[in-house]
Amino acid sequence: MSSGREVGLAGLERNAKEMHKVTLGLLKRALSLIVAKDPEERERLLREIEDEVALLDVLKRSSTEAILVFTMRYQPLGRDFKWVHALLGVVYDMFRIGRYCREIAIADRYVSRLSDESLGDLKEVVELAIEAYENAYRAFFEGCSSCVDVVKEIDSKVDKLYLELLKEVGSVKVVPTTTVAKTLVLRHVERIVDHAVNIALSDP
Amino acid sequence: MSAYAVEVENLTVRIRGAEILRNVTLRVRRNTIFVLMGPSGSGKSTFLRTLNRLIDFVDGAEVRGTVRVLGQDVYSVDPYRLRSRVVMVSQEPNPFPHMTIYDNVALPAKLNRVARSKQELDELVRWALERVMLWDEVKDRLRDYPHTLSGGQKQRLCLARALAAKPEILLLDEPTANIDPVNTIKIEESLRNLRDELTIIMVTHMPHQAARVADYVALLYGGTVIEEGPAREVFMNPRSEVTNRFLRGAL
Repeated sequence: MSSGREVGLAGLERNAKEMHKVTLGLLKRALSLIVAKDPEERERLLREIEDEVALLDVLKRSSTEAILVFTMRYQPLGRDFKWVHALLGVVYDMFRIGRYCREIAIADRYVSRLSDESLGDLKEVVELAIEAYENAYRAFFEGCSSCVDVVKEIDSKVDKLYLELLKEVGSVKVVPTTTVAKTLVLRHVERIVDHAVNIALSDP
Repeated sequence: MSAYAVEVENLTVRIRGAEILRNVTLRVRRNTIFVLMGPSGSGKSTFLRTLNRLIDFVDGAEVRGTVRVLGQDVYSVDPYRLRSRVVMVSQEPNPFPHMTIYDNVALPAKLNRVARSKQELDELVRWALERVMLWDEVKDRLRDYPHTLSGGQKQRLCLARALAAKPEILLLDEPTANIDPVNTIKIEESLRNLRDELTIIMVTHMPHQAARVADYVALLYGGTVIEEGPAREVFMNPRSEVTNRFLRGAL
């Protein structure tokens, strides 16, 4: 028979995995939004992202509370202590990733539509962010050590792309609207990958 | 002078043929709080009793290995002299019932001749009671007897009595096992404040207490040291699965 502590730990993991599904869904919606051309579809995706972020907020609050209650009740030490502490950070990182997806959607709505050009050429970089996040998840929840290297590699790549874009913005007097939108989106993607790095390195 | 107050090597203790401690090797740094953790029956109290040779009083006890305390082999020194430098507080509060609160604290100071005048003795009694956060509670009734105190106050009185002997090492055998949380906190706070003045070796079966007070810890299980090191390391990154199970309460 499982102890209350084991049941509690399993519950915390279940909550976090529920958050993971929502976060991953948000990333995939952000990707769809970037490549979508139909204005109605983009509007629909934006609304879905808003709803999912609200759900993620609720899940983050309940996960955090469950972690605090578990800590209060069982006062974990050793590996459990480190894992529970790391989980608190992971929950926050997943929430922030979701929030950045919303920021991408907002940038898409208010900036990119001033131009006829699509943000579609950011598709690959958003796919990289998804790959980083999925690997970070496997690193933390499945103990995949090679996944940590994948995440770090993607982080370097995205950082480089972001810096190149910033240099481009700084090299011209008038920045095209699409470039502004791309810079904003890439900035959010860069932050998403940073949070993925945090998750990957949280494995105690 | 060695950096270690206690150096134990290959200590094996048998009591009436049963092996209680097996090849225990441990060193305790001076002016630190060293906590020996372990479940009931793991040999913690036996270990403590070898340090001031209280083990000599246990029928059928057989001790092998080296136990050096304050730089000397405990079997090469007078045990009474040893016990004046290495004082023990036990689990059950045991103040002398026929002596006043004042006299309970003053007695070891007199026996160890650490006060040269009545004024010095008064100051020492006050100092000891202050160190255990009991002075404010008893200063107006020093002539009362210990039965007027609560269980936790009695235990703090015993701790003050031990301190008044001005020992170099304080041995504590589950000192808060029978007292309430408020008194437990006061004792733990006192111990943390005392580490600059003496070396404290405590045994406990409560890992959370060890986490609150220890500088260094060791886990004893089945008479063997499973893991030892700085408390922070052992509580954050236990190397042994046995330690991890003990910390989870699953041992």
